[in-house]
Formats: sequence, C-alpha cells, structure tokens
Amino acid sequence: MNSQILERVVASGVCGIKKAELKKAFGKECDTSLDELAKDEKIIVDNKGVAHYVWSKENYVSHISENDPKFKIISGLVKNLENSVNQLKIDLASGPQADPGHRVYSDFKASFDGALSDLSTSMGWVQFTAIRQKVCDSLGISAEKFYSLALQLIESNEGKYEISTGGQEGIHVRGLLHGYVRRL
Amino acid sequence: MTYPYGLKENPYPSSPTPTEHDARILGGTRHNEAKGAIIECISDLYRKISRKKATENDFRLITVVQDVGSGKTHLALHIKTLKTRQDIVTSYVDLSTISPKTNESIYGAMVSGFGRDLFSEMREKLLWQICDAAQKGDVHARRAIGYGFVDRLKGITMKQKTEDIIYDKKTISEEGLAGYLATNYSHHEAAVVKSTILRTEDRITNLDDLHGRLGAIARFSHNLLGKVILFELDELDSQEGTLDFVKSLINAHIPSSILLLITTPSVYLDVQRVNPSVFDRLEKANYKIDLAGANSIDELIEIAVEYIREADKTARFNKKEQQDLAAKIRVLCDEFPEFRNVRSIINILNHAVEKAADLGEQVISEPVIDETIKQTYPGLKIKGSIMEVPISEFIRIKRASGTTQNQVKEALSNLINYAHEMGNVSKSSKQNPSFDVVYSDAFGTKIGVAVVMDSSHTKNFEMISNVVKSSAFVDKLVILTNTSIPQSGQAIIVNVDKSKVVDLLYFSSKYSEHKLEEPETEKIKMLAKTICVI
Repeated sequence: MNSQILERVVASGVCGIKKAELKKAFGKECDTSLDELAKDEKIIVDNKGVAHYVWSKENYVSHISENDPKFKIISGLVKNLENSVNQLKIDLASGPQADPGHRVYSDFKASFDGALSDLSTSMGWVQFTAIRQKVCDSLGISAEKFYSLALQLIESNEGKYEISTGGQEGIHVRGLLHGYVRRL
Repeated sequence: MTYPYGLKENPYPSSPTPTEHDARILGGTRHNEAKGAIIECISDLYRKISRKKATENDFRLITVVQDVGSGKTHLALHIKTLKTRQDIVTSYVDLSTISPKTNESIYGAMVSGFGRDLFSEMREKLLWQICDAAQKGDVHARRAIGYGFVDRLKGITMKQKTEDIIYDKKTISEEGLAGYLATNYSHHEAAVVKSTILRTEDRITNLDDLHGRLGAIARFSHNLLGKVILFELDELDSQEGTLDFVKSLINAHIPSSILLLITTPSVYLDVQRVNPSVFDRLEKANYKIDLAGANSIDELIEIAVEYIREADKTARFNKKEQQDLAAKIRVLCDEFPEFRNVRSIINILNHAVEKAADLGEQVISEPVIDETIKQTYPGLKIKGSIMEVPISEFIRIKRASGTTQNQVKEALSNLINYAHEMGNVSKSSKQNPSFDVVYSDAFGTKIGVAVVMDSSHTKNFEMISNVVKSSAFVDKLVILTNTSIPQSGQAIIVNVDKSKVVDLLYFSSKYSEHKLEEPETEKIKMLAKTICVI
C-alpha cells in the first residue's frame, strides 16, 4: 500500500493532496502507511489553510519555496552556497593544487607546446631531442619522465599532434622510433 | 571464393609498398587535396606554355613531405596513372633502388621511369619529321629513310618508306640519320633522337649530359606531343651525392618540366643540416605538399571505404555498411596506435577481407577482425584489460557504449551478485535508493556503491555531492566515477577509466549469458579489487 500512496502523493505535484482524500481512497489504514512514509522522509504532512495536506519531499520543498517568503530567501542562499561549493570543487579538481600528477602534466603541456612553437620549422616539425632539452631544463625533469609525459600528451590529444619516424631519440609507436613532432 | 560485400576480389593491396596498379584508387580528403594541388600545378604550367616555346622559367618544383606509410608513394603513382589527363607524362623514380647513385644510373632510371609509351609516340613523331624534311629536299633525311632513285621509279613514296620504318618493316639508315641529326639538332637532342629512333640505350658521362638529355626529352615531349614532363623522385635521401644531383636538377630549370620530390620529415630536416643550399631551394618550392593529418582516423576511414566503393560494382556496399565499417576502424585505431597509419590499416584490411572470405562472412565483422588480428598481430592485447577482453568483444562494447552509466550500474550489480554467489560478500536485500548497490563484506562492514558516470562532469559533481550526504547510511561508501575529483574523507572515489568500463561490461555480458568459466574467477576478483568493491 505504501508504494501506491507514495505514487498518488508524488502525482499530486506541488499542490499536494488532502490527507482526507487519501483516507477516502485507501481507507483508514492508510494512517499507518503515511506515518511510515513520513518517518522515511519520503512524504511531508503539513497544514495548508485548515486542512492537512501531504506532499512528496521534493514537491514540498517547491511548495514552501513558492509560499513561504522566509524559506524562499533561505533556500536561495543555500542554493548559491551549493553552487559556489560545486564550482570550487571543479576549480580544485582542475586547478594546480588538485593533484600533483595533474599539475606536473599541465606544466609539462605548457612547456612542451612553448618549446614546440619556439623551435618550429617552416613545416612545423621539430626534433624531440631539442624539445626534451628545453623542457627538461625548464621543469627539471628526467628524459624518461619527459618521454612518458610526451607519450601521454600525444596519445590523449589525437588529432592535435603529429609524430614522424626518424631521429636519435623519441617515442616508440608501432615499434618504430618517432623522433619528430609537430602541432596540427 | 566470395569476398565480403559481394566483392569479386580483395580490394586492398597486399604489397607493403603500392604498385601502379594499386595506386589507381585514391581515397581520403587530404590525399585528394594534395592530388588537386599537383594537378593545379601541372595545368598552370601547361596553360602557360601551350602553343608557345617553353623557357627556363617554365619549370616548377613540388615537395611532398610526410612520414613513412602515409601514402606519399601512392599519391605519386596515382598521379602517374591518371589516364584522364593527356597533357602530362610522368617518370617515377625510386631513388632507394639506385645504387651507386651516379649520373648515369640516375639518368637511366629517369628514362626508364617514363615507360615505353612516351618514346614510342616520340619515335613516330620524329620519323614523320624526318619524312617531312625529306619531302622538302633534305638529302640527309632522304638518306636516313633510305629513299633513292629506284624507289622513285617504283612509285614508292617517302611516306611509305617512313611507315615501313615506323612499323619495323625496314630499318633506318644509321649513317643517314647521323648526317641528318648533325645538321638539324644540338648534341644532346641528336643523342636523344638517335636513341629513341634506334631504340638503343643512351649513355651519358657527366652532369652536363644528364641535364642536356633531360632537357631534350622535355622539349620533344612539349613540342611534338604537347605534354608537360613530371619527374617524380621518391625516397629522396640526405646523402651528399643525391643532394648535389637534386640541386643541379633544380638549377638546370628544365623547361616545361616539373620536379616532384618525395621525402620524410626526418630527411627533410636532415637536408637542412647537410646541405643548407638545397634546403633553401626546397623551402622555396612552388608547391609544398604537407599531407598533414594523412594518418588521422577520419582520413584512414575514407581511404579504407574508398577501396571497397571502387571495387563494388553492384552498389551493395551501402551507406549503412560504410558507416558500420567506419565505426569498427575507428574503434580499432582509437585503441591501437599500431593501426593509425595508411599502410597499416590497408594491410590489416587486406587480411580481414581474406579472413572474411575464409569464414564465409558477408561483411568485415567483429569476429573477422578478431581472427585477423590474432593471426597477423598475435601479441596485440587491449591495454590495461584485466579480463583480457577479446578484440571483437572490445569493438562491440565500445560501439554500443552510448548509455555507459546505466550499463556500468547493471554491470556493478551483476558483479556484486556474482561475489554474493561466490560467498565473498552478502548483498543486502534492502537496497538504499541513494546507492546503486549495498552489500556487507566478510567482516560485516556495510558498503554502499554508487556509479556516477554522466557525460556532464558538472552534473557528476552535484550527484557525488548528493551521494556523499547519504554516507551515514553505510559504513563505507564507494563512488565509481569518470570525473576527476579529489579524494573525500566520507567516500572512496574510484576513477573508472576506459579499460575498466570495458572489463566491467564484458564481465556483465558473460555473467548475464551464464558464460563465465572457472579460470575467469580470479580475473573477476582482481577487477572487483581494482574498483574497490571487494
């Protein structure tokens, strides 16, 4: 019976449904069910005018937001607060403090792109060796770290970088040494 | 044998390097744009010199630079095989096949690179020129075609005598020809005419001879046949000898000719170091064809589809089948960088078509790809996959992963059910709507797991925040998400990457179909551990 009552209450929307109407439909035994649902915070029973009305939790929040100015103000403030927290979470997740690995990666990307742009030839191709020297000097990372990050950068940006075989050092794809890179 | 899509033969070439026959088909936007640029260059030059004498200004330089296996040679051979344009004659030379690279060997390769047709046409025209001269009273020309007093008495015309030579019924008089050439042509032109008419090999001894002969061939081609010459030099290397030769060829400005140089970025940049003078010339090429993005997935798909479309005479390979094949190639290239290359994708498709024919499949299906890869790339595995998902299943799962969140939720539920059946955990009969699954571990710890994997990360933050509010209902809360979020004190955040999703979905489908086998139990346990649900 609980689920049937809950369904009826949810269907009544923001206006809610009179408790008396529910009793008419489900009989006097519905009181126990209403108590259980109220205990589980699935429904709210409150007065509207002189009658007892029943709402689902979400609909009740909408109802009082419309009819209670105090709640409306507080609800607005809470929502703003929630948005700010969410925004902060996003900033934190994408920001430099979020994850040291992420920070290293984003610093690397900026440095790599900078070196690529500085060393670029007319066709855009640059030797990994030259970029590695520049990036490792500026970030203080090892050659192994450089190539592991470079591979990650290129694999996760398919279509943005292009690599080519040859050279003395670089990254291995298809078992071939790719010693040249450019941005597309 | 019946091939997939109703094809009569395998449309994909099996050779690791293209042949002229393979190169008749050219697919891909970028490759076609490059072809367009070369044709534009040819047409421009042709327009400029048509019906007038070509000068040294009527020379063009084109460079094609891209990585190995990107389709440069294919493009060059495709241009050579173009039958629709009658205003061009191409000599394709693979410099890697010439050793040692002497002036003589390079000249020999360039001449034979034209094929027989050019010289047959030229021979006929040259013989008619001699006939004309003979008719106008040139004694040397008459001697060359062997026209004498007796012929005149017999009523044989000069035209008939010339025709006999053209159709090899009679031979030309070498002595007469020598006299005719000495009075009518320059040294180099005479050598070319002689070797063309007599079909002999013309030997050169120095660079001057080489330029002179090539200039003469270009001139005859333009004046007699109205054709522009295209020299395609493939596999250009940065050896000093090669670069000196290329430099001299550029400097020679052979009229009514185009020099197309094909190389890789590494060689191109090496040229800069080895011979800056040549590099500077290459940098100032009339057309620099880059083929950027030639190995992009979209380009590879277009090329792959084009082969079948060209071979499909019955129009059975419809849009739906094209899209279906494209989707499979996309998944393949996304996962395996090994295939992100024109040569590699053509190679794998060649094998796949053969395999499909063997298996009697009408399309290149997932199992066909699986079998092909097992056979041709036996070591290839899905990266990071604990369940060792077969490639065919991987392709199928990836293609159907539109509603990942719901699928992962279902997979998670199946995983907990499986763990429950194995006696590792006890699934709670009373589930909490805040979580996707609630269970107790061996120590009685109540654990709630929620899957938050919407495509919108902002929405995921909100959902995670809501789930965390319910953390008090369980002893431990695990959130599986695709959003990068810092660890929280109230929940264990597990970042579910692509390979874990595929593993979960693979497990789920096998579990639902009751196809799990004993040896897989350990892998499933491992999978459950990596996502912190056991």
